[in-house]
Amino acid sequence: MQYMIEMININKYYGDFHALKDINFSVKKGEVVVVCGPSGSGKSTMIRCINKLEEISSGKIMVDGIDINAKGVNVNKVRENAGMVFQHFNLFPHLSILENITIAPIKVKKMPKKEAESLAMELLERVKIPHQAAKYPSELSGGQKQRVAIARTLAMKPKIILFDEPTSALDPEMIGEVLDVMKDLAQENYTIVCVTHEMGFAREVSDRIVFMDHGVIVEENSPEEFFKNPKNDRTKKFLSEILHH
Amino acid sequence: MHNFSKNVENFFAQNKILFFALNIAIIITLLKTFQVFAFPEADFSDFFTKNNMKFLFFGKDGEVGGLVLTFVLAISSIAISFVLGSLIGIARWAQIKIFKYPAIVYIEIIRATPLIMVIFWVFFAIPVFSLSFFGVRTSVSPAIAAVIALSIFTSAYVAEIVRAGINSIPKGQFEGAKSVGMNGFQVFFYIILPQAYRKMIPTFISQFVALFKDTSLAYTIGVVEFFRAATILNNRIYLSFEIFSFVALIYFSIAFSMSKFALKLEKKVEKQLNE
Repeated sequence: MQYMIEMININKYYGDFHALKDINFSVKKGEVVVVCGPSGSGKSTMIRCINKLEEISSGKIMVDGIDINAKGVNVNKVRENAGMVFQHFNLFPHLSILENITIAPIKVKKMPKKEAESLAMELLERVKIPHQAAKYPSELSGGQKQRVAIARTLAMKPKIILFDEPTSALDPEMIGEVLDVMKDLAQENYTIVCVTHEMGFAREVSDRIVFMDHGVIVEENSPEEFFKNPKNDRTKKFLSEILHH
Repeated sequence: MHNFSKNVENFFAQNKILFFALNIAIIITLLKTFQVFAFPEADFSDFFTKNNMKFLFFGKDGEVGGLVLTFVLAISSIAISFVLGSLIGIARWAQIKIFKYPAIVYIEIIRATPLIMVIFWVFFAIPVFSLSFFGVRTSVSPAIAAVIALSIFTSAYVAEIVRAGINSIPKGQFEGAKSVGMNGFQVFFYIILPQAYRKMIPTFISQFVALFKDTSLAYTIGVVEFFRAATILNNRIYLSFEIFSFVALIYFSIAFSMSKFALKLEKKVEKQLNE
């Protein structure tokens, strides 16, 4: 079995706080996994460990066959391969939309500027905002910003895309446009791990749903089983809260 | 009418020197009108002679002095302290002990020292250093000593501005840049520093307005800049009130224009960086 991401016995402490407790979690190549759970359950912390934005306290993480915490591993290469889309977009406000997308290919991959720009335009086309290329992030709506952030991630041609609550900071009417782009990506070869509360999205496009609570993976299952026959009481409680509101 | 004033504003925004010249012309006219009513005793017509003005603005014949020298002092100190202060500020911000602690010591010492003392110290220290380290008897020109002192002094403040500017960049910017595979150097120089500098522009300008005014302290070590030129002229023609009113207004007019300019920039920068 070819795993793209493999987390083995991961523990993570913030001082005395035990944020991740013995996490074992694997994602196959091309799989789309949704991670859900109440706030403070450790879902964001978990996926942030995959591209080393957080350091783990113990355990082992293999990403595309590389132990990312081993000595001598270039963390920037790991991050090139595992792009991340953030809740608050984190676009670069001093750069135009086009430059936001081209800066990493140009500076990190040494791609010629012309090539990077045509790639960026292609990606903007794909997230359906090519006419915003010359604008600055401050001139865009939340949904547009998030789509630019996705394009910025895609520009590095990653195999893995990590979504950290990509729609939580958006106005309700803008969530759809971002989810549409994500659904589109899920059809392709990308390996996707997505922290989200969008259960519609989870049901429709994910291969597997992981439920976390208090730093533990409580339950994981296919979407049909997860929604139909939740096994754990905490999962049931979470689902009843999130689906009935 | 509104359009007309907009046009005038644009015109002067593009022609700063003309704007400055106009300012001086207005000041002279105002002073002349003002004195007739308020200070009938004051003698502005004896003050506003071609020779006096030439001395105040350009200094003695064959030397750089007066207001021109004030500008030379200010601009060179600004340039040096911008570079030096940025380096010290980055060193102060970086979590590398061999850079961080020397920077802290420098900043704390300079900020707890009066500028006039730094000027004297530099002026008298350079010959001593040159003798004991290189065995050469030299004296340094007061103007150069003044530039060195002003640069040393302002660098400490610039360093603190730079550090605060970098600290003000949200954590998400570092993470966004890292997540596309940038290394530390790239994150810092392409993403963090450009934003930090944009945010710092207004604070820089107010620091440089202060520096511009502080160049007047160079008069204590004998630099014939604008202020010393005024005192020399005063000893010659004894029109103290007239001279120092004029000098005050010139300083004010320049410093005030700079502050206004800073305010304008601040609004522009804020608009772009509020993501």
